[in-house]
Amino acid sequence: MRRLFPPAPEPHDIRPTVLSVVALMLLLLPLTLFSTSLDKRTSLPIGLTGGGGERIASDGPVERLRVVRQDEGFVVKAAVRTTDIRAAAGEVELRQVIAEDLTALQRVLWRFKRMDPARTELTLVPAPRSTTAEVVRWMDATRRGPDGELYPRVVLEASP
Amino acid sequence: MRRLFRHQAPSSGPALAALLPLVDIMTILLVAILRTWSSQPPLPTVEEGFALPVSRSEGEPTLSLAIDVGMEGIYVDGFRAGSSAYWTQAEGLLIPEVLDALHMASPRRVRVRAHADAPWTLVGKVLTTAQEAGVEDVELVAVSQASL
Repeated sequence: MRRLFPPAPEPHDIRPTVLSVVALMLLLLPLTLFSTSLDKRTSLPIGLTGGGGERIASDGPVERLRVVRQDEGFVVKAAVRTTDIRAAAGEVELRQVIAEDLTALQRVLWRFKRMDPARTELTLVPAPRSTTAEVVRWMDATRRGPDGELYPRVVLEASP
Repeated sequence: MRRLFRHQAPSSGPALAALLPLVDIMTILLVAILRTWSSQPPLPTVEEGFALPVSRSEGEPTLSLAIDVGMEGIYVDGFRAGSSAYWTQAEGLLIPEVLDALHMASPRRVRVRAHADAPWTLVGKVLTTAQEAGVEDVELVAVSQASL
């Protein structure tokens, strides 16, 4: 027979669940902190050139592309083919653009990238007084800009 | 007076409300730590205050032979191979001690861990020396920007 005043269903108590999550976190966090190196390291693969020697990375319109760090900023030196790209190597127009800062440099490089999208390599020539942190920052800037990938293969001129 | 037909539910409201922010913080912390988690061994301290440059690159460094370029010295596989001050000023492009060490180890790949403030003149000489020793792949190690 059905009861006139049935007891209300007992609400599910979620406290044990929450406590078990907290306990799990309290165990996991110290373990992770102890076993983790918080300075995550990364690597930048670099090509090397001995200085003066240019490497031709693609058969596209841009035959050579160098970024030289100078006192006034970055000097982008590009040799752009003037004739049919398969006709002859060496018939090039030399273009030189000065970029005052990294943002301007990325804009200039993006223009060359649009001219020759297949090219993936450029030569970076740091100044003798540059520090490693600066060179790494410039490498990051020349590999990827705000508009997309630029030149992922950076050849460093090791001996200016 | 005890009520006859009403069951008193366990008072879980305030206790639960106090625990939930804790769970939230723990979860955020755990996610942040896991995002920066790295299986690489800790950086051996060749010098006091050795700091790597910071990079946006995402590549994982290999476990190849390490050349450390500090502010005081140059170290190949942890062993001192020259003075930074001397080789920064020196005329020569090659560092003989580093060249000898690389010839003995004859690695195909090296990773260069240079101090963030190390002058490029010095790092360039180390890279030229590695190239002269026949090293095919060189990678520059930096600290990822994703680090905590």
